Amino acid sequence: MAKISIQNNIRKLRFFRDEMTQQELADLVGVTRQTVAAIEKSKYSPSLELAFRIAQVFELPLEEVFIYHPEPKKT
Amino acid sequence: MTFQEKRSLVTLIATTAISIGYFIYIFTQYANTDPQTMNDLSFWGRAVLILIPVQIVLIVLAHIVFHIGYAAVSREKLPARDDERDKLIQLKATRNSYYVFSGGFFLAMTALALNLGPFVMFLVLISAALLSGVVESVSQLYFYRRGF
Repeated sequence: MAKISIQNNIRKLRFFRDEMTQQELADLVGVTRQTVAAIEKSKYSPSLELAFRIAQVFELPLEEVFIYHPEPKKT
Repeated sequence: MTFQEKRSLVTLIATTAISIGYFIYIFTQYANTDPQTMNDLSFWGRAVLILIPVQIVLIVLAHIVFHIGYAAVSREKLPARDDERDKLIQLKATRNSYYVFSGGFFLAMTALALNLGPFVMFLVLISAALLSGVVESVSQLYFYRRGF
């Protein structure tokens, strides 16, 4: 699997939103449920616009929803 | 397996089955009766011109049947449209299929340059078209399943 260095807290944030379903989140941000599932499992890095829309749903800044772990530079 | 993966699988099976079935029919109808037909350019032109609409109609039918069947069996809401991930996967899969078709086109021209005749040229070209369709569907399945 392609190594993606962007992690996220979407699963946890959905839980704190009365166990919001993936389908509900998908409908709110205008994508399919499968895309939300892929983002949660870090199988897909969303576009900047979609990332902002997801953060907006949870009323949080982007960096509290998505965490970037840069790969260490090879010397 | 998600809806999109199943949809790619339907395309893969339909494309392969229709193309192979059609050319088996063509070869059994004409190759045995008149082998000279295989090097006739107008024969190949007709064969390809018939295949294209037949394939489009049958693939559309296969997708209609699949959508109806999926909606009846699954409780899941069918995606109304493709989102950004679907479009990106489609683009990557199309890119891979173009690589394969370009290679096939190059081989087909090589066959002509080597005087192997229209039969070999069209066989290589049509095989490349079929293979590029297979690569497109397999790429979609791969990207949906493994992520990117």
